[in-house]
Amino acid sequence: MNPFLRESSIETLTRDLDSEKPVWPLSCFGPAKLQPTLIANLDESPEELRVKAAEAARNGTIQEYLKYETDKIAAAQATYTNARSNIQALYAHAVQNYEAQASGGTPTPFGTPAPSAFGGGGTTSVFGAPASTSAFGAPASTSAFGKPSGFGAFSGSGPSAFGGASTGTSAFGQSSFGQPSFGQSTFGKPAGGSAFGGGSAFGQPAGGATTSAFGTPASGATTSAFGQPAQGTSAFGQPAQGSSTSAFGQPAQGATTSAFGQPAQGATTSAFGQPAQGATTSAFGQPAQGTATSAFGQPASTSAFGQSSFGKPATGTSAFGAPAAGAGTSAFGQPSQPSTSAFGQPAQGTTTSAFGAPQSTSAFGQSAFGQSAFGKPATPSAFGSTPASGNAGGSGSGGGGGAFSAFAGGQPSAFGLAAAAKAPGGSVFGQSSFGGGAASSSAPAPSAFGGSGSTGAFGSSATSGSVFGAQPVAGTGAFGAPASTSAFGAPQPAASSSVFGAPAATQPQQAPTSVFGSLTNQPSVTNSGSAFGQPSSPSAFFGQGAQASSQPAPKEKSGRPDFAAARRRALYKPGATKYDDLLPPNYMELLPKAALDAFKGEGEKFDWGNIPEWIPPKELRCSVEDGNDILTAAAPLRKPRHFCGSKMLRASSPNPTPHPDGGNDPRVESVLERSQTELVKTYRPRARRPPQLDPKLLSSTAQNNGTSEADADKSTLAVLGHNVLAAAYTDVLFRSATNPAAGFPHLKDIETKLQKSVDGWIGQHEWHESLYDSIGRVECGSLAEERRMLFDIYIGTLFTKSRSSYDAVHDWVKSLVERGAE
Amino acid sequence: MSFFSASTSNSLVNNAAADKDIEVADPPTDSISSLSFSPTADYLAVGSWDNNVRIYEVGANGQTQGKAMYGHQGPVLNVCWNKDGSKILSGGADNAGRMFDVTTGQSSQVAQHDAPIRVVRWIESPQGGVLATGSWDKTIKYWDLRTPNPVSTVQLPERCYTMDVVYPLMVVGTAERHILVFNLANPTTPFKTLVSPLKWQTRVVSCFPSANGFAAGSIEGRVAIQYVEEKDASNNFSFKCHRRDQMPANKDQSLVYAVNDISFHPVHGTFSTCGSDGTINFWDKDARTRLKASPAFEQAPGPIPCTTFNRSGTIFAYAVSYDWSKGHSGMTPGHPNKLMLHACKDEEVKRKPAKR
Repeated sequence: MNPFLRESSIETLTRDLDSEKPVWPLSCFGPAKLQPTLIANLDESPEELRVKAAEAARNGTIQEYLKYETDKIAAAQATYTNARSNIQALYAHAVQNYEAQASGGTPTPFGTPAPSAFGGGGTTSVFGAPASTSAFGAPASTSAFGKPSGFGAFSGSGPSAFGGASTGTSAFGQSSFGQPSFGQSTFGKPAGGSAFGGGSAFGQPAGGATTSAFGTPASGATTSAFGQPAQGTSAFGQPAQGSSTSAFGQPAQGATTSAFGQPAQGATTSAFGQPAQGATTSAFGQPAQGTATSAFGQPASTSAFGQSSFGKPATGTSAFGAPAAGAGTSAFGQPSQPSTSAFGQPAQGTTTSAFGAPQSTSAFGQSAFGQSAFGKPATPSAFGSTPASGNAGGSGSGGGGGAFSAFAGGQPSAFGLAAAAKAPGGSVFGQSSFGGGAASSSAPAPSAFGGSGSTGAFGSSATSGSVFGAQPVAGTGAFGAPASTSAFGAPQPAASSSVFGAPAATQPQQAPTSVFGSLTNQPSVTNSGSAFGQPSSPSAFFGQGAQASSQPAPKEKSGRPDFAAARRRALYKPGATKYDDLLPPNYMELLPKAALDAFKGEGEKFDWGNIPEWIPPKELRCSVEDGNDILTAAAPLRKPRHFCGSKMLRASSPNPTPHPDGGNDPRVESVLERSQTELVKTYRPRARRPPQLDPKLLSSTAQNNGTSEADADKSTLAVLGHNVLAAAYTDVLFRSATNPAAGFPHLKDIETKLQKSVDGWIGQHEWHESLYDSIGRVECGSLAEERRMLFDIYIGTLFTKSRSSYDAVHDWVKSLVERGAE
Repeated sequence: MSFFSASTSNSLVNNAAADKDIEVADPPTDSISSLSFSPTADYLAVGSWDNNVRIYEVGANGQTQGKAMYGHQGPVLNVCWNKDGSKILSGGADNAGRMFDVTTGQSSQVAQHDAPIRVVRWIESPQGGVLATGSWDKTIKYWDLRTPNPVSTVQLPERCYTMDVVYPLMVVGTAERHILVFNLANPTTPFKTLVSPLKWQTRVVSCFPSANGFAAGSIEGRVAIQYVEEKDASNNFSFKCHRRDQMPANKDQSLVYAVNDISFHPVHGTFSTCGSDGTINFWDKDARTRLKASPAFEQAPGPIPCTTFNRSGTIFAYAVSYDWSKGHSGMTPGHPNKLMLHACKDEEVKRKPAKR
């Protein structure tokens, strides 16, 4: 029995990459002990980074360091995200490695057994250089890309297989592929046999129509992803004259042949020429970490690829496999497990692209790949040479964009993102191509995004601009939605299983409509579980309820925990437990003041951040006898939960009586009490005036004219008051909305009206005059503002004095609303 | 056997905190990268990211006194002593290896690489002492300290991340999970190369005092015990450590920290591990257990980048410093940077007699 299989499985791999993923992000990975490194070229130790940081600090280039760090980490994470989402292929590759190691078994002195990059047997060349079998366009058996570990399978392709951050120019496009250096059948050449160029857009695998170019396990083994099978000419290199040497699998010594036939100068670091690394991992993206290395083109100077062929001008980063800052997953990588890939799809496709792209067009159509990214427009673009109708990336087609995003997994579209984040100049895949297309998200009906209506989920959120390109790094919202509240990505933790990615992946090919399409078609999306993830909080509906209708809106049942009742249920019985006696007799004195105050506080619950970590003193527990009293007193108290834990409250609660002279004054206390009862009387059921407070009380709290402390207090109180009011508004509005789903614009209206009526009220009752005496003037731009401010201070003061005043405020606001509605 | 005086504590509850570890006064001004005790006296050499090596004398009661300091042109990454304790060797990010002569107080450059020297080790062979330096330039070089050229150079498959020597065993861990085992009778050719017994980036290797195997620690919160000879292979194993459940309720999701250093006890053969999580544990590899009486090391307020025992195993020194485990963003101004001394009790570091 294969010992590797004994201790490693898809489950263990999944665990390794998931729940047991180390904190340190920049690491290679092997599937099991002593097993060849499966995801390579990522190792960078904390010390190495730190030395770079130290140098940067010395040279005053810390920003560059930070970018380096960010990029590296993002690339590594993308790689692992991608690997994780292609776990099957990863595992298959690991098994292959094991077998290669076992059989091939002559490890060179330093080397690890070097299984070929793309899964060919250890001996087969992958990418092909001059080797007998070239990867691109190679004969089936050794096709680099057709193999299970295809393009995106593991390795870096993930980060941005294609959506690199080429700083200025796309490696792929520009000079590289089309360059004569390749001669015959280069990437971009229309040459009949060109792997890339030929008739096949990316994935039109001639042979197995169903197989995706990049990454799916090639069912039709004979088809090389990257290339037309066949024409017999090697994409990358000369027609195979070569013999046994593989660019890819080459032991690093590199000497003999370089990846693409070039004498690799930096042999050892060539992505493709690397031994274990290039080998065990996918050539294509792996190294794509930071600026310095890219899958396809190592830093220019050292990469075989970059050097001469692909990445010539690439400023260190090549399009292929470039850093892709936040890119979660590679566009290309994703698809590998299911049988459909974006790239493959359109080919056979007709109606169905992952996202319902309208036509049989290749996602990669003209504008997208062809133009900016992969090839100069002039020469037939590598990818886009035969864009069916070229619709995909094109302007209006939401679908085109969709295709891509499908691959992007939960993360932002690989393409757009990387480009947006990085590519300053010619975006590879980004703005210009996808973003552009998406931006004009007119979303024709069949488009996934457009869904049924013009206000499809996507349509709306996308409006801002380029769906794909626009949203910068973030690493969030699949479609440009704001991060945490992204409708689509919302509840989804990170990358691994995004709504988007997932369904797309499992999407049966024949399904005419994309996940999104289908869902959006159903009006029912509205309420029940939204396909796109429940909004995590009621207020997160697609961003502020801009939409009129179709938002899921949880009906709010008042779910406020009833702490008072809880307290009633659990009363303290003195002596019921022996542990009480273990407390020191002078425990009250030992307690820190803060804790003691917290226990003494009148609130029914502690404030966040101020929960004392002490045993409650016996003296302060409510016993059965006095419990009733306390409870009756406490029952009406309700702390608005909105404020628990708010900074505001924390700031003010430690000293709820900031002005002891007033706070402890029995007269003031009685005034307070009285005014509260009055409040309740006056403002229920239908109050026309705001909660009343004796000006004297205010004078005790907020007066101290002239001192800056007093001013600070005032502004604090004003903010507090403002927020209390806001909470009351929200509360009232929310409850008053019979159908929040339908009613948000309506509510907005009400709110505006309410604001006005409050303002009006403040102006019309000239109570503020009296506040001048107690509070003093407040420096403000206008009278209205000053009034407003006074009012806020007033409410804030009220609130600090007694939390129950919130209820009064609430009721008052409610009355205003009701009046307004009449 | 309170080796150190108990520090005072007037906390209301925490009055049981006896035998607190001693914090060394005047620690380095930046993170501590490396610790090494002299093999002949209680002198502690401390390498730091502030470019300096400091030497402290540790007294019988744990009091410390700075004795000397010398500098590199860049951060110091590793320090060690020669056999007779007369010299301190250090390597740094300035690509240089330096030697400090304890008797004269002079330092001089004795080694040079094309990239930072990550680790230095003194090899005391029958033929004499040699300095081995491992660098990110993917070489190990041997120096006899008299000539500016290395005696010999060994090409590594990757950047050297860690190295340890217990003559005649030398083990080197590099990036990309390569591990090379040398028999120093033939120091230029690896006796054996292997892929790491761990799955992720190698962080540290440490030879058994018995020189028949080594322990390796990685960023994945795991330590592997690996014997050199095939016949002992059945004794190989690995175990998890320095992990923390992210949420108490969810055991599936853990925070997996790097194992930063492994130090073997010179007498008992037990060893310590320390990690980015700020914890230290003592282990017995033969019983495959954690020593239960592990010192009540509280969770340190920061990562622990390095540890070491003194020659008799009575003092355990460790640093609490930022180790870059969270990148630049973790380098906060107030981050603790401490050098701590712990008095080892027997029950902490001694193997348990086998039951039965």
